[in-house]
Amino acid sequence: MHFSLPLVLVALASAATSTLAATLSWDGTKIPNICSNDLYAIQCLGLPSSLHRDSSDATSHRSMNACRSPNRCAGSQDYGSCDEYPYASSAEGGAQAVTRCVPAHENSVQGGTLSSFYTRNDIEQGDQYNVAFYNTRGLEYADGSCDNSGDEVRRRQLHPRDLLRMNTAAYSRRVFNTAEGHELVMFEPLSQPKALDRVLGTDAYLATEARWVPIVNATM
Amino acid sequence: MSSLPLFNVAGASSSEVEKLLAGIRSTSYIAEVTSNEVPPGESGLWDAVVPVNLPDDCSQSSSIDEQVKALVAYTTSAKLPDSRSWSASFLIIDSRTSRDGSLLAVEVGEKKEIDRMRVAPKSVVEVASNLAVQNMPLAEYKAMCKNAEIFDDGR
Repeated sequence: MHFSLPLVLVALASAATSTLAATLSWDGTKIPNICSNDLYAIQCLGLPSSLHRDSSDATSHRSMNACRSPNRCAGSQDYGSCDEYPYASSAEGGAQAVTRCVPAHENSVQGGTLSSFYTRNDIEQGDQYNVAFYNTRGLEYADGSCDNSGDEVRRRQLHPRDLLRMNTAAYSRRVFNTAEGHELVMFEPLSQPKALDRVLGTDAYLATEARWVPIVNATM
Repeated sequence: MSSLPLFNVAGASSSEVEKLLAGIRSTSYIAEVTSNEVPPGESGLWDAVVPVNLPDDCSQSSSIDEQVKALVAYTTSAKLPDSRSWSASFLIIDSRTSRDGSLLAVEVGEKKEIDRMRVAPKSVVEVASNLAVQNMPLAEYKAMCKNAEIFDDGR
């Protein structure tokens, strides 16, 4: 197993300085199952909402998580693809990722969207980005609940080095508004109050529309 | 995004490759991913697949297995043109492409071939962009099309 220590150190060192990081915003109406998985991972397990691109370790990240090989979701007719958060192409991905069986088409659209995000935002190896959500009403876990429906699965036993990589934190939910009226749900570490105020005045990237929109104020 | 190199082991002419690339890029998958908000050329997926010359040690007369082996060694050796970021996974125009249009996708991880699958041109961007970020392996696409000989998402 390859372990990218430099990228993890970058991730830890820059966790508190996300000033200019891009904000990747997912539309809950387009990829609802994936957004639910992400929400559970962040708000219920404290997995990072700020990620760093690490494409060089993506294969090992993918092989280490609970999706397993062959894909544990393969027997499902409608939910045959395995989604993971943090993403395999992030330094935070790997064994600690939370996985969920999702419709294959939904997962396939997410992959293209993530690829497009990396290109259009010039996200290079090691670059940081924040993860946000909008149109979350009605999504599982969007109300703050952490009662696992049984769909969220992660590896039972983690290696100590994976525990070290997790960088888990307790988060408070913040809501930011865009100039076009989107309510962006983001997660701020309790240890860094108001840290996310840095996104005010920056642009959020609406992932499934491949365009940017200004973040104008915060309501929470 | 990392682009997937497109290798031509069938000796297709440059105009044939260009025509194939145009077909790949005409997929409606790009419009779906971007909700039709940006022109396809600005989507970030336009260069999901980029033609690359064959390396010297990959002969057009070799068997497909030998060609794949040589190409895996090439894409994992950091010898690809440095003009862009590349994925180790790649696509092949082979002898079958001229018959049914399909390309051979080869998934590579940790310097080894993991899987291979034939893909219809209009589904190539979908598969390539997912391989590029390790979001969905070929095994899931095979399951998605119930192990049909060619993955064709009808786009």
